[in-house]
Amino acid sequence: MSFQSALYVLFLIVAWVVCALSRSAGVRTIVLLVASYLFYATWGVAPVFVLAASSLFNFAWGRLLRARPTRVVLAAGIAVNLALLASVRCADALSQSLGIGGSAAGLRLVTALGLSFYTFQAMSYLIDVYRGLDPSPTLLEFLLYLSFWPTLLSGPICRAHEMIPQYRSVPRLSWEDLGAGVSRIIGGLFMKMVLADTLARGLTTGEGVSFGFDRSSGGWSTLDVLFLAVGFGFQLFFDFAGYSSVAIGSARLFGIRVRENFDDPYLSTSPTVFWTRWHMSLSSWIRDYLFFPLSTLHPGLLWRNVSLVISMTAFGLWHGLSSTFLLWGLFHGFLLVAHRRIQSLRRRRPSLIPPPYVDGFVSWIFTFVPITLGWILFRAGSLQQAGAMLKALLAPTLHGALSMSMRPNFYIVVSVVVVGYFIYSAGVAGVRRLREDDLARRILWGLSPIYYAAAIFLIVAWSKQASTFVYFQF
Amino acid sequence: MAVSSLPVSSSLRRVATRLYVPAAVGLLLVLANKVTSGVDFNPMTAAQNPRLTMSAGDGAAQKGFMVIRPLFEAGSPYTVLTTRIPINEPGALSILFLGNSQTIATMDEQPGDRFAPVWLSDLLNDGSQGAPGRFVLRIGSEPNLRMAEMLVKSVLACSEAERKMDVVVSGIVLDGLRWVDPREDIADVAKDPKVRAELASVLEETADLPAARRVILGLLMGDVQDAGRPGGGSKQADPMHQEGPAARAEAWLQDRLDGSIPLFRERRAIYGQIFVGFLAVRNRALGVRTSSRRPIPPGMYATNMELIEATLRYLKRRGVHSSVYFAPIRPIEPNPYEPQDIERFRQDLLSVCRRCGSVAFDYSNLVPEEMWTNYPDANLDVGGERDFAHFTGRAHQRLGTQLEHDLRPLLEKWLTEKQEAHR
Repeated sequence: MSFQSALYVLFLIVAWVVCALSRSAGVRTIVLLVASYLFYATWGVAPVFVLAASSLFNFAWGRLLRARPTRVVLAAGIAVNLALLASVRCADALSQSLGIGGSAAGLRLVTALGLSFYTFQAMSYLIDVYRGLDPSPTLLEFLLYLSFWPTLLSGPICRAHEMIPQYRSVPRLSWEDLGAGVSRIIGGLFMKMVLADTLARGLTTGEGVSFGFDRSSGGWSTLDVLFLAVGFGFQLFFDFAGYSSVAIGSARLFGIRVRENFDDPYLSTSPTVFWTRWHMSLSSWIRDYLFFPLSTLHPGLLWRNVSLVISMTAFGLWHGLSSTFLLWGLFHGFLLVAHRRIQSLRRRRPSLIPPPYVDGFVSWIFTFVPITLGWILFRAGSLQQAGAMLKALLAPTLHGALSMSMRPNFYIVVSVVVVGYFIYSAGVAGVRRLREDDLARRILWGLSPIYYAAAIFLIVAWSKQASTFVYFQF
Repeated sequence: MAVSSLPVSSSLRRVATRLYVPAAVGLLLVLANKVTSGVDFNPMTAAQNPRLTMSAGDGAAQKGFMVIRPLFEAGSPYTVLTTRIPINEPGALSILFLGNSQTIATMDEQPGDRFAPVWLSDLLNDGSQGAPGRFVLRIGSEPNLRMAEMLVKSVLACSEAERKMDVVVSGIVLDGLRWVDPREDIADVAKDPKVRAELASVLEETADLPAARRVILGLLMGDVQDAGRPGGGSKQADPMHQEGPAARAEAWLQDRLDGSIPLFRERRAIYGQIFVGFLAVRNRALGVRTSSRRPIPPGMYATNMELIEATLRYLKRRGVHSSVYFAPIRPIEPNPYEPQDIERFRQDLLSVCRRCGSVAFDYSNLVPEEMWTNYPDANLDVGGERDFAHFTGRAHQRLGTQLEHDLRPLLEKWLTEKQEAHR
């Protein structure tokens, strides 16, 4: 059952009604747990067993760690989780390189659905127990923590100390939660089904980012690669942010607050800021559980920078054991190190800093461009393809730099969506300021049904063109 | 009296405030639903020239000309029928004719007009007009036929031994190289186990055609509307392709929604209308006309040439004779085709046909200007503009006659070989 299915809407309604009738936190926990496993079971029986086994193991290991909080016990628990994750990733990478596909690949993918996400949640729980941040969940609470359906398949990656207390609070389903939840779900589906899918597939076949990367026989010009990189960057953003919005909204319907995953990342003015705004739940996980512990092993700037590169490389490999993901992670690691060096230089030589209005724009350009270039590595099917595309971008031929090998609608759609996003962001900022005025707030509220109705209308119109969420494969 | 001082309880006001947004959204959607129920929009024909008739013409539907899949419902104004390919008879040569709408649509249709493949069949069978003859022709043409679809139909025509076609004649319009992925309902043909097996065999012999391989892999994985997964080229199965109770429940729900809510029932039409509207705005903003230059994107071109080669190689391997013709181009400037694209395609097509043992004909200059027409002047977006895609009944006759003239010696030879092989 996917978030963008009619069945999911029915599922939410039924779950909400049953939860509304629940009077105690314990009953609500059971209802949510049953709903979560039912949701997951729609993808097959095998994934349910893997999830249950992982949950039981981590719960038991957490108990052991509480009783014996040693590094050895912690390391063993982490190792088991990583072994599970690595075995599936390695099997996947091996089968891809051997050309094994079809039902075998499908079985493996379904078994692994959500594995990366709930395994990281499990590891964060074990580490928090070791650090003394232990909410001491009951078995049911812990099972729900790992299986909570809004976040199970593709995050946001939650922390036990944020979720468990919420499961224990007396259920009080409020209008505010209902309104906020539905609003997030509508917004998320619009981002995914209308914006992301249009960028991916184009308005008609052969006009999307997917064609440019997967079907085209190469021969990209500078312009093509630029549009493909920007197009994919925004496709990924709308897809994943849309999914996260639906997940957050779904949880909110039940009065449960889940951490945000995106915060207008393409408005970032430095790579460091970008990573506090993109896939925030994973980047904060990497920061809290990998980078900080690693960087404190040795003093000094060099080791800190090495830790940064290692952490970002791990970030890349989390997406898959391939050379392109490895390079992407390394690239971002070095980008962050470079940014820190530049910051240090600016502090030492303030005369180098341009006026604020110029500085902001220049900083944004020097963030947006490398981030966008990095998407080529992330999306390319192979190192060779990535190399060919980067060469077209960075060493254009005089004749072919501006030639267009895609259909014109591709360039138009990418331009409209990207420019539209920045205009919308500016509009949202303006609206926030307007909301401080009482009359303006009422007018905006009065007009809001038009926005929601239009979004639902477009979601329905686009719905027969539905496609998979990109991050399902992680 | 001010509104705020009316004797309305605060709880009532609170309820009204809470219900305002959902109620207003509901009302707007009901309105949209009402408007949608009156939608009369067919994505297939929305941008079509009103002077065009897409039918078998002159009762050809009753003559037994059959196509491999439904273009339109039986009984609709577009009377092309659907039936299974008949069993191949030893005494006759079965011919599959593939082309785009240029071969199954007539401008300003007149009594007595027939399609080019219908002319071909009638002439081959010595004017017998559809009665069983020595040459049994089947029309597999498709509006905007793409090369991936040509491959699928060619494979379908060979997938069952006793129904395998003897000859495939394909008319390729240069415009058909502007798209790649097959449309969903044709790609669905690839789900047939026999067709899948044949496509898998095509995959094995196309190691040197990587772009074609990617398309064929997409067909095999049911990946025609892929989401562009990172790490593209991955052979991971689509997790959305679920089976089981949830998928069945979803299908049931979608059916119920389609059956009871016009907004859902007409969503494809709504999407199509938005798309056509986008094109109209785009064309107006950029000054695009039917005669505006439309270069074939190099990536698309290269992929489609590989698909043509993959198709012809497959047919040769399966012992099916093939013939390809470069479809007529309207001989007037300005023209949407770049001269270098035309010349490049001419050379490449000849070269591919030579390599694959296929017989090629160049009919790009066959149809003179007076046999083409324009959009009606009253047409809102393209009033009075030239139609470069379709021609009149006289042109169909000309094309059919030329095809008969060029193909007959070969077809007679192949028929003789077939009959001798059966003795």
